[in-house]
Parts: sequence; C-alpha cells; structure tokens
Amino acid sequence: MNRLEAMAAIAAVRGDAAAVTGPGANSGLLFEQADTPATLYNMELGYASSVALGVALACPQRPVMSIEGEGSFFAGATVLSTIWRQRPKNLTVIVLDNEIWGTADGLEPTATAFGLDLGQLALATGWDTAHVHRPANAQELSVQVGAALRGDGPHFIVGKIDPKQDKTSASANRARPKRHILDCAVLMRAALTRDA
Amino acid sequence: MAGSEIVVAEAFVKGALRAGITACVYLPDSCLTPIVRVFQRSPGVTMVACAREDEGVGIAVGLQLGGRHALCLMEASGIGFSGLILARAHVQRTPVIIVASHTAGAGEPFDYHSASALLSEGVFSGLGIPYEIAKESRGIEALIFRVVQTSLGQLTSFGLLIPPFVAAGADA
Repeated sequence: MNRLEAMAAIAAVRGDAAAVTGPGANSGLLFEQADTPATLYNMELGYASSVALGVALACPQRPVMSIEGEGSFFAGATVLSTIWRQRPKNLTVIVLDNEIWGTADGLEPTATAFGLDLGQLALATGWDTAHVHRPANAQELSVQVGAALRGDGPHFIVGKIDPKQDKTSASANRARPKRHILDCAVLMRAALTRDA
Repeated sequence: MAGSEIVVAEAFVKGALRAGITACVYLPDSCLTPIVRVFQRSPGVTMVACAREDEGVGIAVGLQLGGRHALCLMEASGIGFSGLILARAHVQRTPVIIVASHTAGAGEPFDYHSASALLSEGVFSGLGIPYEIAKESRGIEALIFRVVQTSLGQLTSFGLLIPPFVAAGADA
C-alpha cells in the first residue's frame, strides 16, 4: 500500500479517538483527512507513542492512537515494554514503515531496510501475538485499526508502505498541519478534559 | 530503609497529593526510591515505571493533556536524555514536573555522579525552566506543594533537585 491509502484507511475508522502523530508526512495527511481537536501533530522524534500512552492512562474510556513512521518509532522503541507493562486497553500504536527516513531527499534507508522487524521487536519485549498486527494492505489496515480502537488493547499495528509509491517522504512534497503545536495542545487538553 | 528517609518521603508525598498530583512516572533511583514506595501505597495514584527518563517525560506530557497531574522522578542523568521532550512540553505549555537526585547541590560525594550533577541545572537553565534545589528535609512538604502549585498555575515545567542528604533526612 502507499501512504495515502494507509492514512485514508485509518481516517475512515478514526471516530473520536485521540491521536498523537510523529514528525513527518503522517501528521499532514491525518490533518487533511481526519483532523479533530484531540490531535497532537508532529510530536518530536521518538515520543509520539509515549505521549499517547500517557493520554491513554489519563483517559481510559477514550480510544487513543499514535501514528509514527518507523524511524521515529524505533528511536523511542523502549516504550513498547512500558506499554505492555501498563497494558492500557484503549491504546493503539500504528507504525507506517516505508524503510526510509522521511526527511530531506527521502532517500536514506532506516533500520527496517536492513532487517529490523518491529513486530518481532514487540514480541521480544513481551507482547503476545494477539495484540501485534501486520496488515498486508490498506483494507486490512482499516479493519485492524477499527477493531483495535474498539478496545481490548493495547494493540501494535505495523503497516508496510511501498517506498517506491511513497511520494510523501521527501520534505518538499509533504502536507503539513495548519495548526500550531501550542494550539493543538490547548485544544487537545480541552477536548479530553471535557470528557472527564 | 532508614526511618528518617521514610519521614521525608511521607512528607513529600503528602505535599504532592495536597497540590493535586495524581500520577507518578519514575525510574528507580537510590535517593528517591522511598518516595516511590510511599506513592505506591497511596490510593488513586497512577504509577508508571518507564524504561527511559525521556520516555517517562513523554508519558507525563500525555497524562497532563488528559487531565492528570504527574511527577517525574529520576536520577539527574535522565534530565540529559529528556532535553528534547522537555523543550516540546515547554513550547506547547504542557507543564512537566521533574524531581531529580544527584545535582549540583551540596552533598554529592561520588565521582560517578559528576556528569549528572553538571547537566541537571544546565538543561533547566538552558531551556528556561525554573528549578529549585532543596536545602533541607524539614520543609520538603511545603516545597513540593509550592513547586506543583507554580507549575500548574503558570503552565510551566519545573525542576526540583533533591540532594541525597535531604532525601535521607540526614540534616534533621
């Protein structure tokens, strides 16, 4: 699948899930396709899923997801063990893995291009196979994300993005959220605490 | 654990709870472990043991966005890991409260804490994050209460550095 298909698949089933997205193309695409006030875009490299974990623990009744590229996720991958240790039922971590750093010219391979398997990494940190998902295409991704957001988490979903079809990796081609990160934080806190 | 450590830890947690703290993110640390243990016995406090301190700060950011108020307990070495996520929290006005041992304060006897002591105040001052160094154990309850009060009221991150002799109650 390509990234546009993947994000459309996620957007279709997002519902009222709070979201934290990592740096790069995923943030702009989610903003374009499924923006809500409970969204924090362009979290710093390596931290989208740890912030999402905190949100999930604070708001156990609300579905929460993080969306990161594999480069960002692997930079903060210790959070896999912490998520499994806490096991919030409402947290879904989505990694869209195109095996390329999504910056500059979009040509620098990441660790997954050399054999790193993030699904196996999750299993190695204690996760069980029922909570680790590897959708083969956008339709499977949509089904798996939709089911994950309905509960029984945490869920870890790794979708492979075809780098040859990924025109969003290079910085120049990228959509960007049209909301300042300060405004995102204010809106997100208001949306989440109103629920509480 | 020595009795004086427990007295300090109980006072600290009492002040933190009174100020509205409902979560504690931590990595084990020799000086602050009594505080962790008292938090663990406190009803209604979400405890999160993390794998890295910067990951813990990220979790605290999420907790705060979701309406919970967290303390991050760590050895000061973890402040070094946490520069980027602390900067992000500061920029988006999501307050994070760091409580750390092994600092540039007095009473640090071991050479292997030198790097941690050097960086703790450097990160805080470099990012413009206010911080205090606890000088005595006797006022620890009021001090943490004021730190939390200021952090939440001003929407600013805040650092509280606790030297080992204060955590141990050795000055009492």
